[in-house]
Amino acid sequence: MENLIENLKKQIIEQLNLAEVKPGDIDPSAPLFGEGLGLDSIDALELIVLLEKNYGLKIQEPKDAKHIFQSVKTLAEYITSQKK
Amino acid sequence: MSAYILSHTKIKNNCLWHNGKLITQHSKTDNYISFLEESYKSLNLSYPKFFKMDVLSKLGILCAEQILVDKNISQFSKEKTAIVLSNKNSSLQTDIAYSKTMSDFPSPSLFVYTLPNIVTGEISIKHKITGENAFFIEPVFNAELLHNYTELLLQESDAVLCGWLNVDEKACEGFLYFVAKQTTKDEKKINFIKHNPNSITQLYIN
Repeated sequence: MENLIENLKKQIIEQLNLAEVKPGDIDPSAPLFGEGLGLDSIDALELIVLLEKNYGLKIQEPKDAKHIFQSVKTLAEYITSQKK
Repeated sequence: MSAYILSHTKIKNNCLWHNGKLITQHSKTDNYISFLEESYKSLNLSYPKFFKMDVLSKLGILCAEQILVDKNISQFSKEKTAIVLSNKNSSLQTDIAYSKTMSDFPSPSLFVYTLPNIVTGEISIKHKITGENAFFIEPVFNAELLHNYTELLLQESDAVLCGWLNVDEKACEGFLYFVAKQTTKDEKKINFIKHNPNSITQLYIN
């Protein structure tokens, strides 16, 4: 799980062009939207692309997205759960 | 009505000038994207969204920043400040970049910049400008068009941010200037330039 979280941090920085953010700056439990990284709606779409491109995952239920994209940790938990 | 050009900024050949003074220069790189990002850093701008923007918006934000943070300019009403921009290539470079992603995973963050007037929105958001705006596509820099449209806008607006922001495969070129019908209290201290097509052309060329 820790490796996955570190990979996700790097992928999020690259996919979302967060040029001034380093992986160590991202708290895995901090909210991705609103506070924390302060991502916006376009970033949410980029995260959906990231999930599909890098992990072959599509979120089937839109209502689940709010929880899945809550933090890097919840994103990692979702990816892990889908691989089982 | 008399209108004056209070401030002007130019980016060309990896140099940034403000009111004729060289502000930043990066001769080590011939990559204009690197130049814009290095300029952002050297000017100590704190606006992380800058890195998510396309080149046209980065160019516009850097040019506008020099003008709009000036205390002689920032006193103008944001509600009564308009923006009139122009270029030759519209958003073509971003359109091409976006089209390349379409065969794989279309990029949402590129898609949102596939219109030239997005840069007016980015400048407006950063500086809270809510006046009229327009973006013209012209084959070459057209001082007369910008002058005439600006004079029309000044019937209702106090000031207009005008200019030319163009990006192609090899280079980017930015020229923005700020026009106001009312001069500031510091008028006598600053050499304001009369707003007419000739003076605009001279600033663009020089």
